[in-house]
Amino acid sequence: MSFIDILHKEWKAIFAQSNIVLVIFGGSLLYLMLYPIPYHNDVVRKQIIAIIDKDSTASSLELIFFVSASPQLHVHYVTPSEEQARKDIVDGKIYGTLTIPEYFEENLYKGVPSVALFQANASYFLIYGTIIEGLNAAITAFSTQTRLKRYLNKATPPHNNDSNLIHLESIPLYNPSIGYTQYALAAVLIFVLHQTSLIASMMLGAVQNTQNKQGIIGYWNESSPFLLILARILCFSALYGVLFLLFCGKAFEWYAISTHAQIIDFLCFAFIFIFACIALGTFLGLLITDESLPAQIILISSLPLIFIMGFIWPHELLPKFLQIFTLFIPAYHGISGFIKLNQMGASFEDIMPHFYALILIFIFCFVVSCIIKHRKYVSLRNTI
Amino acid sequence: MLKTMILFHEKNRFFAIIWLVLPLLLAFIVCATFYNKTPTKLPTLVIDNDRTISSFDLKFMLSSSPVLDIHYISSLHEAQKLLNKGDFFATLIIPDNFESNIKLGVGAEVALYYNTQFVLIGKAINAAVVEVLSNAHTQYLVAQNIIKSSNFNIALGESLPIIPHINALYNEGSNYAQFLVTLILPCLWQILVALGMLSLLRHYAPLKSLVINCSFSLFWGCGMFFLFSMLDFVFLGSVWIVIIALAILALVLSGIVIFFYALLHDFVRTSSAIAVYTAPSLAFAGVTYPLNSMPSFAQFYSELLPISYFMRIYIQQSSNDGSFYELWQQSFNDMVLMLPFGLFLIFGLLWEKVLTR
Repeated sequence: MSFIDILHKEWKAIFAQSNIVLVIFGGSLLYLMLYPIPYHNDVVRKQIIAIIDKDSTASSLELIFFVSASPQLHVHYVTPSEEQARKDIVDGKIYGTLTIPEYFEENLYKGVPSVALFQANASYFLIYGTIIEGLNAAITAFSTQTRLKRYLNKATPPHNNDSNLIHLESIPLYNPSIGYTQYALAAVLIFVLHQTSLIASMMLGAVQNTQNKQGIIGYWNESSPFLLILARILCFSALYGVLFLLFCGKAFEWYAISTHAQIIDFLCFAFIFIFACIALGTFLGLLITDESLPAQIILISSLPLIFIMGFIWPHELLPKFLQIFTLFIPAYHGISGFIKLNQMGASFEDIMPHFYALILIFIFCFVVSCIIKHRKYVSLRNTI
Repeated sequence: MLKTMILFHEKNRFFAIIWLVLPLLLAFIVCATFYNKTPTKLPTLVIDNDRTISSFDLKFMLSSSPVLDIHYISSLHEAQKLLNKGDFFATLIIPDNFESNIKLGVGAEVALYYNTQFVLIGKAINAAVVEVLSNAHTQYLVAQNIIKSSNFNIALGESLPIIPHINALYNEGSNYAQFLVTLILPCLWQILVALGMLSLLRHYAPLKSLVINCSFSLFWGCGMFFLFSMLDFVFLGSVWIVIIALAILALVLSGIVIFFYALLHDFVRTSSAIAVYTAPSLAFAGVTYPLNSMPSFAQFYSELLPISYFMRIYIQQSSNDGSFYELWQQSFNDMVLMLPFGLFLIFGLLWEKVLTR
């Protein structure tokens, strides 16, 4: 059988399996639509808090004004009693409180520091962070103003504005809004392609194994193992190439994810990434005989995998054995490489280690798949 | 007894893997992932253009922060390259004349370039630097004021009119392990419940599968709970309420699988449907990204996933204490809202009946 014949048959085999087509197109596109939805608003704002004002003076009112001006906070109500606020935190109606202590104004004038108590529900980290950030900013602004007022009252105001003795200019890089779209989507969309490509390529192997078990012998038993594996990888890669262009081209544009990579670098890396994923899927597919297994295996592995990919939790903080484990997964190299290339503006030589790793994964899976296929081929010949 | 169990597991090998091997393996991997609990030792570059005692002091304070792992470098260009490469997460620049500007009271501007592509890491670094700098700032102010007032308390009061005191409710020390593990494991557990159910449906009638699967699910659900308490995660409320919620969740999820299977009558398609339904639950559960910041469609989709209700119940119970009646009242609403999913079970069973007839 010539290579063109095998290619043709592989192509037909993929499209003959509606389940595989459904995974490749249905699965990928569905997740492309579904995953970005929660993060549509990008940044978390206007978290609901209550202020417990035990002082009720002009100064405490001014502080409340500062707090309500914060874009991160929404002051639901101001109350003198703690009880109401405590109950609402328990019921989940508010997520935090600011307590202004008694004698707040008096202490300000006396020059005695007063303690402002921030409380926030740390069961929801993003809400907690937003509330503390907003309160901190409001209190700092209020303190600065208080100090300025004090100086104005003095006969000889100082020549400087000491509130800015050290001023920190924080410059967020790569994701200026510190939003979730850029952070989560850039990685998750690549991960989705990785997972669906694994399912699809595993499924084809499983289907053919099942048919062999039933005594059906097909072109996959008769053609040379090397050409068959090559054809399979090429066919799937062609399909995933298109999906990749859609995901990282159009979809990134829709969701306003930055794309800094040079097109040639990007394509080079994308191709080897796709090859590695499909080769791994093909290899795993040769080992299973149940068509429903691929989706289940990938489903179970998705959650633990995504947390060790290094973009949610720093890769350096993983235990050593997990760090080593990730090196064998194409998604780790793919996500790290694409993020550095596309979001962080790294050059291609910076991601060379990932590139080489993907090549190694590809070669390993390719060779092992050929060996497995060859053994089956030989044993089938012997039985005939 | 033992013999029948062994026979059962031999017949249902995948079911045995799901409920005997995977819970332990997955729990181990997830717990190992977050064994560091909070982000620490994040590689950060410092460029010191001043090289004075003050800048040295500042560097000393920075290096004593547990979050940062400080490295020194002299060229901004180099630093930028290292940031792009991803070897370092931030660069802090101490400007020249830092010391003299502070002593003159003119003010010095310290710049922090930090990587926010990884939001969690970026925020941790920024918070650590803000903390160090505000400490340093207060120190300088106190030093200046103490000259004028020669009384430490007055000097402190003048420099710091308000001392913020931060209280992280329900998760002291902002432990990421507690935050994420208590979310990831229930999400994984529900996937195992669904897949366990599917693998049983191959050999047994729906009702029998339901009973077997729910008992295994509940056992491991309690096991998960035991693990949380072993890891010292805060839990103030009633264990029983959470176990009841787990039982309902196991029941409705198994019901949904029966429904999918009755509808599709194909294992491959049913497993794909389960994947589509359960895989995005972590993003939509409303714990990592707050529900109130999601657009309305996402909020609606979140309501369609039983795990969202369970997570709410779990968080309520873990963070509040009180009498059983009070706690029950708090979670009652969400518990009731899970029940309509039971309709899938009824529909599934009815449909199955119709088909077999």
